[in-house]
Amino acid sequence: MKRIAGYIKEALRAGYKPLLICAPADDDGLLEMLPTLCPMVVPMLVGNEEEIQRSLAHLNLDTRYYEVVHEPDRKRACEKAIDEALRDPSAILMEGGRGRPLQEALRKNRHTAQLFSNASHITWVDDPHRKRSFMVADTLIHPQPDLKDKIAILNTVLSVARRLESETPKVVALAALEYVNPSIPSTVDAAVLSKMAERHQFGDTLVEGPLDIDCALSRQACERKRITSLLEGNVDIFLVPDVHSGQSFIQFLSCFGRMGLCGMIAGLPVPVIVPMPYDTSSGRLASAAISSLLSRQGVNYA
Amino acid sequence: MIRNFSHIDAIAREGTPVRLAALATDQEEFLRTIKIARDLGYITPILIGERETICRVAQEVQFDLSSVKIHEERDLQAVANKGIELLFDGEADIAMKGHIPTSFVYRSIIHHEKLIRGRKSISVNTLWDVPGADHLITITDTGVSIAPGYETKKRILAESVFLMRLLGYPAPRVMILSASGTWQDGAGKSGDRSMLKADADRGDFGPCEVLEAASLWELYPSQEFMDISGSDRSLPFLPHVFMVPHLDAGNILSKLDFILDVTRRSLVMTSRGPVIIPSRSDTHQAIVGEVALGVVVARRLRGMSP
Repeated sequence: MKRIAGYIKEALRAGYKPLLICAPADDDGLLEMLPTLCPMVVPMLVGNEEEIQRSLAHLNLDTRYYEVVHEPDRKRACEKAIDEALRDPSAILMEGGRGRPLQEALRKNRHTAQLFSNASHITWVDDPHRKRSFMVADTLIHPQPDLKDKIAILNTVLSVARRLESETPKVVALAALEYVNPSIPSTVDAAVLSKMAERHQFGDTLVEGPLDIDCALSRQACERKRITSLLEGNVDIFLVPDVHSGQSFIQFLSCFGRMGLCGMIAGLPVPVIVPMPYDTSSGRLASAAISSLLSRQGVNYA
Repeated sequence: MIRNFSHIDAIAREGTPVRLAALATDQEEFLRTIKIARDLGYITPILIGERETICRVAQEVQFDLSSVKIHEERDLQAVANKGIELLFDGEADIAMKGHIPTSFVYRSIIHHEKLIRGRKSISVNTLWDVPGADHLITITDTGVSIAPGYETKKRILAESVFLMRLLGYPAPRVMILSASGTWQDGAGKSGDRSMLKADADRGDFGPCEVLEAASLWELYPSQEFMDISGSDRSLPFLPHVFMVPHLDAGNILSKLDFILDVTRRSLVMTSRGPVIIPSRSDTHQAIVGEVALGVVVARRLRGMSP
């Protein structure tokens, strides 16, 4: 997969600007980014209009450029934003501010609540040494996914990967070891997913599992362990055993490897960008770029 | 204080070689590792396995076994039992796994710990030498407990803090990793963290500090951290110990040396000395490094100099 900067370039080149609905729009960090986001999206700010205008003015941003939908109550602002997004399937939702008000509203909304079982937060990791990026899922939504959840996560991530660029994504179902051990659920789940892929239950893709991280990353490690893997250390998607291992994985890559991260929730009616502990302005821009590219294709994740 | 693996290697080369019980040494690369470690002055090997095979492989790697003690064992569990028995009887200072399933070695360690009423559980510490960091870090438990509960985590943490103190860190900083921002927020995991922190604050693990932060992102707010570019790779306040929530996370993190610019060495602590469990994907250079770590830990445990 291409580097994260490549997605930003592609989104800027596309010239297509979907609606980016920000709610609640009370996050100065988000508002500060608006001029950078504008070449690839059309922002709509939902929240307390007076406060938004004041913040925009404080940030020296021309208030006339941005559509503001007045809703002083944070909870209702999120509900309003979801209603707007449901009317425009090519929109993008972006959560601002403290807490998780938009996610809470999405989980309660009658049109989106049931879709959470298929949703997955995908993190893109930019690997400067290999000059490529890869996806890690799920990094937020399902704390301890069972096999059924993992099937849904995989389907969602595959759909995103295919729409972005990779027609035959290479997936590793990570586990603590490369053997099936009935006492370690991640190894059993990974084996099942791999067998399902072999039977084309996920379409045109390669899913290897269980594999431990050394075999997933290195052909030499596979050779030493006498594992035959078609991945050859060239993985597009890391399906992690759970959110704890997923977040630990990406945080070590970002902190010890200085790898850039960005992400979004897929599997809901529109892409949803939520604040993550790894957020940087360039990461948020990349999240918006990827979401824009997905929305350009009129993806209905549901 | 031992700050990096070069320091470990230098210390390992000094002083008297320690006795290393090598379990199932019938593979060329493994026996070559033992030979290198012996030639470096780290160890006096004791080999356990099929004598005939060991002698044949030794010839292939030009390893003169005339002064090396060999214990003949054919069954793999018997090989593990013999090696761990030598360690627990004080006839060896370290044990190291060769071409034998890891579970056989763990089973034998747990059996011997029970016999002496020693440790109730064992854990693997994976140490990292991180360029830019001014100290080693350890990740635990990276190899034994699949989904440890609070009591097991307490033992894992005590073990790790003890190891880091042995390596010269008087009050290790500990980060108990868990996910943040999830919908259910992994209540069990963060619950364990607050209890372990309370235990640490009470002094249950000796001098150490369990951090409030559950992720590196809390220590290094991304924006500022990621803006540091070029050669400045300093990691201020980096914890000494990272405790993972379960085996899946431990295994994934510990072997990130396959993608990150870090070096890894692992060991299992027992009541009678360290046991080295190399990964099957490790090169012989990496395993020699693990032996050096084991040598230093064994000497310090037994009060040997240096």
